Amino acid sequence: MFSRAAFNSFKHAARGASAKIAPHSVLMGATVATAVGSGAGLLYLNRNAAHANMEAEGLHPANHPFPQKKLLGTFDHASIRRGFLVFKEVCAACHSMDLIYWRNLVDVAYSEEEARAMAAEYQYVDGPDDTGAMFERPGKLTDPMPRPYPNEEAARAANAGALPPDLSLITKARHGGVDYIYALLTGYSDPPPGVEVREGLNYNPYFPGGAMAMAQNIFDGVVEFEDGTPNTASQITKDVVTFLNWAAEPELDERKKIGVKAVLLFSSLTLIALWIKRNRWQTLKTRKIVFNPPKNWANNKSSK
Amino acid sequence: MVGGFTRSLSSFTYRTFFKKESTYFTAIVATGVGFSMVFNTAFDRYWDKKTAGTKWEDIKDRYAQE
Repeated sequence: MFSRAAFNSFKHAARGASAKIAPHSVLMGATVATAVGSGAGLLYLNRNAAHANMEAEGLHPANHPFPQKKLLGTFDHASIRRGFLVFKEVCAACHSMDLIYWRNLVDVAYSEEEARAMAAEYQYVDGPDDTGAMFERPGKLTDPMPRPYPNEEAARAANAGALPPDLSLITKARHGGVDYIYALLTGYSDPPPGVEVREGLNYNPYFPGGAMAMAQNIFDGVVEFEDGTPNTASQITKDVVTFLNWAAEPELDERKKIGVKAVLLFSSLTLIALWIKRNRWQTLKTRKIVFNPPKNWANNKSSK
Repeated sequence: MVGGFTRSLSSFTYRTFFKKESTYFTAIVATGVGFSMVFNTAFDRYWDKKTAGTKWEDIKDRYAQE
């Protein structure tokens, strides 16, 4: 199909190579072996490089079976709901999430009434009113997640100079994604002998450099789940990481669903197009061109 | 009887739908709409079964009317 002529000529050349042009094929083989060998070697070294400053990259996180990591996997929305509770009670004290609004939670993890009730628990500055003054009002669905600090300077002042990053896109913004965040939150340990961590920082092997400003905040039982799920530190971390993944990729469920539809449809259309092309080309590919010389051709070659 | 023709499905399709541009266009649109309805309904049913228990629609009954 794909250039039958080229395939046949390759077969012919391969058969005739050993007979007539042996040195050429040996050279060819040597070149290919060198290229493949060096490529494989470079790939191995790239994957398994060891160097003196691996602490600067952070320990590589393990592979955790989050359902949304699979090619066609989607979020567990019960986990998103628990994760938002963890975020609200533990993380929101220091971390902002400016890109998520209360309305984003509706029909994802909470019903509209629940989201409205949760938003109303917080006070938001609004205005100006008719006299020109700003005023405070309870939250609405159209409000963003409440900010723990009004600006970066206040955040740094309250956290010994370190800025707690906004978590709206954190799983997309960190190499390693959900695995990295999960490993980071559960990975606090004492520094190994010889490693000094200065006062105010905490040792975490997964954090690039090893010394992290955030202390461990998730322990067994810090949050009570309403659906009775056991609140171990690993379960709490798993749920909050799932919530963070949803916050960064709220379109994931829909994207994977229409992705499958798109692949199915486009591959079918491609096969149909290939068949139509071959059908229309049949007349050309099977035509015969015949030369019928005139009757006196061979006799009168000299009389031209 | 309309002029001589082959009694095959493809011949019938050609005569009724493909000869006139108006019928050709209508057939294309109708096939598209029909295929779209059938494909989307069937696929959505498969996908909902595949993701049963994980979506908001599946868990919302636990938190009715707060």
